[in-house]
Amino acid sequence: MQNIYILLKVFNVFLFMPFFVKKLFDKAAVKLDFTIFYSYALSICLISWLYVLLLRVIPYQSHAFYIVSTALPFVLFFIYHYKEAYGFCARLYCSLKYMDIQNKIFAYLFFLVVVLIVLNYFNMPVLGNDSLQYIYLSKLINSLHDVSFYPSTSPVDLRGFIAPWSHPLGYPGLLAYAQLGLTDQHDAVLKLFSLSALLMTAFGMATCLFPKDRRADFFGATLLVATPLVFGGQLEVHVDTTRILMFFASFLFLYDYMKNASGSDSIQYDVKAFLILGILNGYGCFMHSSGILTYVMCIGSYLFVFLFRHRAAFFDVSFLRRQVILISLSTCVMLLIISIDLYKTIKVHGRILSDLENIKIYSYLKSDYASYLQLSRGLDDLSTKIVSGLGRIFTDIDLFGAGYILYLLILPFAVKNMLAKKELSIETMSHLNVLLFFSLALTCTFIGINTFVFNPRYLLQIQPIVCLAVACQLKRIW
Amino acid sequence: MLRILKRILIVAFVFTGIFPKVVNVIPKTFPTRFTSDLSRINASDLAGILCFLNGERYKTALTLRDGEYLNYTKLNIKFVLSDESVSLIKNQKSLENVDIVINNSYNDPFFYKTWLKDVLYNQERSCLVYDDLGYQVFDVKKSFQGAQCTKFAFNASLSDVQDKFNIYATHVKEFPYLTTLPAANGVTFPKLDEGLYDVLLTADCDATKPQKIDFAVLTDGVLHNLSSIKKDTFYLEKGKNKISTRFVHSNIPFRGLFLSKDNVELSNITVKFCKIQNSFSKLFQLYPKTYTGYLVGNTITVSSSFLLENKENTAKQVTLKVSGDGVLATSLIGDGIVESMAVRLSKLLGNALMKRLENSPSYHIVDEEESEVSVQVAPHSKLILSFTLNPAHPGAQFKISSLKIS
Repeated sequence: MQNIYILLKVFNVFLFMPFFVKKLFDKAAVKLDFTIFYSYALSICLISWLYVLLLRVIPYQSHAFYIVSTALPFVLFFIYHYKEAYGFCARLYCSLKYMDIQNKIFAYLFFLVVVLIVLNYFNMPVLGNDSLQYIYLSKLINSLHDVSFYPSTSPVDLRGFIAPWSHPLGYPGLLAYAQLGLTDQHDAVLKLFSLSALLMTAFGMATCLFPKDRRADFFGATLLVATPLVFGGQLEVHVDTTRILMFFASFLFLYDYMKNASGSDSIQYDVKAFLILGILNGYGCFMHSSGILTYVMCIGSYLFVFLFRHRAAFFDVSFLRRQVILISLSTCVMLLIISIDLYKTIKVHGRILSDLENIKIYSYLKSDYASYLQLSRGLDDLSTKIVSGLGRIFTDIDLFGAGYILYLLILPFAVKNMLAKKELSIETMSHLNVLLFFSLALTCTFIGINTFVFNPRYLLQIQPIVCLAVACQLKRIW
Repeated sequence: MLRILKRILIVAFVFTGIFPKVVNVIPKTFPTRFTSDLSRINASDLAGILCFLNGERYKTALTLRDGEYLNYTKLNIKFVLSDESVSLIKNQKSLENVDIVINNSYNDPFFYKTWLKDVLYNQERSCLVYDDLGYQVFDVKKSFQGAQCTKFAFNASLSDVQDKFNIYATHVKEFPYLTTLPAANGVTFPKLDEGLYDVLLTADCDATKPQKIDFAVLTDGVLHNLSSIKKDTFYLEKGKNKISTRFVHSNIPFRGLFLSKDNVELSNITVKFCKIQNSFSKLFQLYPKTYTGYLVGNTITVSSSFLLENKENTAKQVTLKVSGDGVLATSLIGDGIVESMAVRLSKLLGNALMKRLENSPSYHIVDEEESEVSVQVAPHSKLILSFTLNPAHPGAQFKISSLKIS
């Protein structure tokens, strides 16, 4: 029976749901080039969101109930549209084909690294405290078939487990779904779901961007998966791969929409596009609170690119009003998706986001912990925070890989090329987002928000886009 | 030509990011069950503490970390980040419901800034029952109160500067072959009866500014990456500080090392040794001496390491027959010259690669069916046998029916 559960869940997440989401994209009729990638990215989030929603609305049911409830609609949909389903699968296969010998070399390198990643990932034990916390929470969700206890800074079970985070239940929900109906021995399914986010990002980069010349695609994807923090097991069953996926999906969608926008599209067309953006951001926030960063980056880069291109209309009130409406709509959709989680977090913690503030012992021993955190991380003054904190992504190749340092090297050439171009390209968007991200990180550090400094994993959020920018430039000089 | 050079440069940059990790990624062992994590944990740093906790009858632990204990043991935990921890700090009687306290080498203000330091760093109020690989377990229901303990005074001064750290070493003259630190004159290490000791080290430390100091223990002529022998971390305020650390060690001499990025003044270093009775089968040991006689015929009930030394000029073949439930890792350590070469090379080639080429442990899965493990030990080398019990099975053990050295 467990094998049936496994097969049903795996096919649901990797075939039936993406097909359903793809059909929704087709129905939206927004001109987009990478809908397959968005479908897969959203499926990972959607399954967790559905499972958590069912647990909130109809708790205390059996494993079989939740597995069937989350799979049946999509299975039936798939069967009903079986002809188009065949085309979907065929297209998946075609998108993975590569071309001449040079492309093949890059492709083989990429697939070699992926194989090593998969071997390593399934062979390593889960040792990280954060990962084990998520796993225990997901086990608790499955044993209680309830999520009303989350979040909590007091023990939620007899063993003393606390769940103090302000993150929504997206990632633990995904892990819980992966383990639903299985015994503890089936760790492989849990790892598969977690790893799939990274592979989706990498395959998205490797297959989507330059159909005629895949070298940059595969090179960028290889740089991404070869990042040691990803490769070396420190992201074992961690939420980072999932939030990186959603960040990349939102970025790519924005580029996709702006590239294909004709400028004379109707308001309905733009509304649909921004609804989709809101959904992507909303699910990004649902998986991890860094979705807020994704949202800020999306809106920031949209405003910069779009208003710069339409700067002649900058003082046109109706034009500005339209942008405000679109951004507000997107924001409302995002908030709607995470509304229940937001409400619960505010109810328990009194704020939307809290990292250390919700832990009473940190407040009780405030000065001791402040000193401890600074000394333990070796970051006491502003210059050290910037150089050793933020700067380590360039110097700590053993963790962050070659992507960031390569980015610094290619940046002068890239700026020169971009200034010569007039049209919007993936390369321009990449550089814009990277520079925006680091501006944000620097600003936060200057004003005393130490999130990026104390936790270098947050600097990985921009990793796929850095790798993409590097690949675009290297393609030029290869 | 230029294009080829450019391509080589690009590939080289990419591989500096991935090559050291590529070497490590090839699995050292394949799990007996693909879907199970437990056999992989056997080969990890967590195995020892998990085996220990699963083998004992503790019910409740006060701990800095929750994930590993909730998932891999049956302990109930009092997590220091829960709301209840504030009342625990305010009420000194609240440890009545706690059996053990689990600390880590990176330490935490919860333990060193509250009344708990008077329990953990006090041999008359607790026993250190486990100490290895950054994990320490203090049994707060037992103590050395009334036991005969030996107290000595040490001194320490700046001995070396390495890897951006100032290294202050306690002077013990039994280490003339320590090439990273000069041979020291002065205080002689006390003569102790054979066995294991709960060691409490206290010192006064004068710091010119808030800073962090790492404390490490160096034993014998074996050279290590300094971070791998770290025992504790102290977070100092500007001015005078009283530091305390506690660790388990055998009777053989050791050197205490204080690693600091800034200059500090260490004084009044006292070390108190309390002998741990009937401890051999209970605690994790490293490099005490050969225990050939003990190993055969006995049952190993806790993950342990044993050192067998070949002091002769000819190679020896060590063959043992073992059965049980877990993993046996065998690794070899050469003499001082080879070791220091390995350290120098590791800085060039990357520690990961050197770990693969030198002293890489060989893992042998041990099950109910008795199997034979054979290792060749070079002249003047040491063999470490690390027995790691299966953490999934409390009560798992190893039995060695024979051990031959030929």
